[in-house]
Amino acid sequence: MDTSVTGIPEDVAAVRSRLWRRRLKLLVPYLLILPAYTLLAFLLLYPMVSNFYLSVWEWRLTNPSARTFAGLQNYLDLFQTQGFTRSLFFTLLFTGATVALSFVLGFLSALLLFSFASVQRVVTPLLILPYMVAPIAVGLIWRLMWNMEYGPVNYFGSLLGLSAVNWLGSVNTAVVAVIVSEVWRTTPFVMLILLAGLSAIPTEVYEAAKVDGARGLQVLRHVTLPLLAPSITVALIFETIFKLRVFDLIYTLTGGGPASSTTPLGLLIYNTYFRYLNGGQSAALSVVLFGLGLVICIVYIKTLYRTWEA
Amino acid sequence: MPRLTVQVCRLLLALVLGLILAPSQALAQDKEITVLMHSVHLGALGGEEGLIREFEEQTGISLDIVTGGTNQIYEQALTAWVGGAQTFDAMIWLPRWLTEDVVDFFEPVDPYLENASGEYEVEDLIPSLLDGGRFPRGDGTAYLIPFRVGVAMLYYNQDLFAQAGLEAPTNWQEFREAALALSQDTDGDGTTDVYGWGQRGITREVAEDFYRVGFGFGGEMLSADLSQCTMNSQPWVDALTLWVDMFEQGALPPDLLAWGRDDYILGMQQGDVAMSIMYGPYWGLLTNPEDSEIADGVGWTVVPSAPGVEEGRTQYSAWSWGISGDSDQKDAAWQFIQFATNKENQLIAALEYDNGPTRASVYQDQQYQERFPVAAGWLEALRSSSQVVAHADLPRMDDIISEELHNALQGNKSPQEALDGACRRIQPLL
Amino acid sequence: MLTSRRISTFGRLVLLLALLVFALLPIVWIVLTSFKNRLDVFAVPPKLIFTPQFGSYVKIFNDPAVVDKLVNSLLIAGLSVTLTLALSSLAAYSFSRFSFAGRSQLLIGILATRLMPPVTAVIPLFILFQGWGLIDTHLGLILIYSALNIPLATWMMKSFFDSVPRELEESARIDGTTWFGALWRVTLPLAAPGIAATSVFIFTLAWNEFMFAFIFTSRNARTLPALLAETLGELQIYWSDMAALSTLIMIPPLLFSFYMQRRLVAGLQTGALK
Repeated sequence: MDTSVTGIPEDVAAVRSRLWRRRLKLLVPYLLILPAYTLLAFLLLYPMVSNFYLSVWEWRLTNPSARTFAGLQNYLDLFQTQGFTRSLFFTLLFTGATVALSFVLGFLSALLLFSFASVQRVVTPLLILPYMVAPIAVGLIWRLMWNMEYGPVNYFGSLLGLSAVNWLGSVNTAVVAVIVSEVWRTTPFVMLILLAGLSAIPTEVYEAAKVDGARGLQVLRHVTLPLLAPSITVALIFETIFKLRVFDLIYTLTGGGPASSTTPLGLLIYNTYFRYLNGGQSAALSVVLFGLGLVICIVYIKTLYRTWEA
Repeated sequence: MPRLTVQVCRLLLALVLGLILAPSQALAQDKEITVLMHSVHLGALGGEEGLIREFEEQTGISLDIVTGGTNQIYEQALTAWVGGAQTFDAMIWLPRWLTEDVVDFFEPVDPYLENASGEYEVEDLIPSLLDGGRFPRGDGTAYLIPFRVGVAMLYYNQDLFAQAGLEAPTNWQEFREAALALSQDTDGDGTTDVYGWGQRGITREVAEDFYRVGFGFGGEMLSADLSQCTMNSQPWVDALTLWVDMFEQGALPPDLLAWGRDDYILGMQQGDVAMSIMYGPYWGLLTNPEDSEIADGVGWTVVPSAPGVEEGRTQYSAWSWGISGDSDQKDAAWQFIQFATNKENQLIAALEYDNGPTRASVYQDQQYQERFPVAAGWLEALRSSSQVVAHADLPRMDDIISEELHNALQGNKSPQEALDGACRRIQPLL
Repeated sequence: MLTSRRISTFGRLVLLLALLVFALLPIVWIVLTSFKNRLDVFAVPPKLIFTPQFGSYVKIFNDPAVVDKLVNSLLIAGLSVTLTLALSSLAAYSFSRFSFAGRSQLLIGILATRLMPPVTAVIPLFILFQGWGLIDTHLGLILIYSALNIPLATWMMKSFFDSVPRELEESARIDGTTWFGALWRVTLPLAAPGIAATSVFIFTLAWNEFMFAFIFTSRNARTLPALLAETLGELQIYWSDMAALSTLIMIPPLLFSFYMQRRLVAGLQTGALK
């Protein structure tokens, strides 16, 4: 047998280096994810894990080190506080309504923009504008818009012969107002993702469909929708995540009222954390919100993502 | 495209390095303290160019001022303390925030007060305001020095009162009658456009306004030892009945539940609201001709009272300065606090920058009395008024109360039911 | 046939117009308000025609703090977009093109980190940053915003990479390009509209974020939204000042979105292999 200076048979060395290269190749996908995950590990994952941990302790925000073990007490207490179930219900209603409405409007806008290629470049930035307004200003602007006496909504209503509506000062209308304001703000989010998705579909696909005799809605259903599935999934997932924890718009628009009718979990968490200084309870609330989001996301992924990956 | 990318990358790299290597600015001055305050307090000191500049010139200490809104001050100070950041040396604080949760983050000021020179005249600071900054409140250790007082007052539109032939109300019966009489449909379109009474009704703010009225009825929020909720006692029920009646009879605006601070100030300024129980310093906003249409016609009186209740009794509070316990420049911080609250500067702040003074001597000052006759009312109201309870769970109480108030105002519960409900939920917190 | 197509075109135009009105009405209201004096802001009925005043803008441009904060905002948003795009495009490429053990778990894991409401992360993060000396620094906010944006950016870019046919890349690799070359020359240009859209979102979030911008800074690294919050004051809202500042804050992301669209869509057209 031929041995080299290192004492390792040459063909073994070659095999080993080839093995190494193959192993390295296997590592490539992980190495590509590593930088992103490193940042996330410190800035999002670490607070998340500490949040899970702290949710089974009782502690005041001002003194996290003086804590006593509480087991599941923080979670059980949630159901005893009156605000929680109501807030949970409102959060689901709000998320459902805003995601559905902004999805429909955003999809419609994207399709319309796509079909008017000539104006797309000018109109798209205009339609995105609502998303660009600073969130703390959005609430204030809508407070002006919905104002019963000098607000433009009621003014335009009066031109149509409608009588003044007490938008923010009564329960049901306040819920509507909050939802419409948020839909206004986030429709561009859906629109832009779907528009980018539409632009990425190769034109040949449409031509092929046309050759096959597909028309209008048929093309939409059998060609556009399946190819758009990745974008739709992403839009729905993130739209849902952002709506589930809505906070700043409502904080300035209604403060959660009247009579707590528009208090989402996000506002309840903020209150529990910074105003009630109840660290354990706010951690438990965050975990509930986390679980809620995870369940919904998994449902999306199981239904939509599957068609996408397939 | 690749060349462009390289250029952009190079530029960004340079920027990042520049940021990281930029020399710290703190080295520029020998002594520098960071003070957290509300933008309003910066205004009450005459801005960066006013008393602040003077302090820096006098003492050689440079001031690093961080401003924010009320909630942001609280959040930022808490985070800095809990995070061990030693960011602030002194900060503005509210007595209602001086609870067992945060008191340990403050440096007691008793030693500083004892050693203060005779010129500072500690006894000239209004005693009840100084007591608000003690923990336990009243006779405990002093942590805060009062800077800007705010006591609720009844402000009204003199023209509207004159037209209706009414005098300023002194008790709640007169108040009720005036509110109804002053509500009118001036343009005859079938809807009220001038409301007899305007108040804040939006979540949280409604609780604060309700306390002001309830105190005028003689109410106490909790029993003296803070162990019992007394918000369902007769004075509070009477107060809430007044709110509900006025709301139902159209003397309060129909969108009351959406009215916040800006709305009721504006209502007064525009003459859409005839009277309001307001935070005292808003006087400056109502009488400022640039913003107010009734600048020359604002009337004032102390908050009406119920029979047997001391005249003008309502709620007050004073923004006060405290020294952060983790500061390594406590003496410099104290120098600033002393400067902001000494006799001379309290007078300047009151005369020139509309501050609500916390020193008795300012209220006795001839020039001040002439310029701000309303201040006599503030002083009178202060003597008979109380603060909201000092309890760590006050924010939660506020939220419970405002929810129940909304229930009553919407007619879902009677005033008694609503307040009983509130006490049932508050009691476990005590 | 022709007439029905005309009708449908007309219908679609009307629909687009309605959507534009819905999107723009509040924006128009902000801009109008920024030129109104106090009386006109609250006039009943609302005034559409009035004598404009420029006082609010004059005030803003005379405030030296605004320029400071504008620079901070631009630096922070710009650098955080760069960092996010760099990290996310690598991760997204990996998720899109490789199959490896734990892939879908890791992909969902990225999403899961974003499911926690950021409020409760404030104090743990603050303590961490305090230890690293990142409080009140630009770098601190850049890192936070990048982290907050990576989940969205990764998922979006993955979906766009997925829609670029693998064959194109493979043919490039047969020609002797490395996978990175294939990513850089083939996949990235083809996913350009998607990257443009992604960067618009990242920029906007970093530009408008308020909570961390306020609590994690005091003086050196304050951004424009924190200034806006300060301007709102506690005594009274000066609506036209607020509206003027909001209008100005809106402009950079708008310009950015115009720029990204033109730049990247142009890149797509020249770089396309069609």
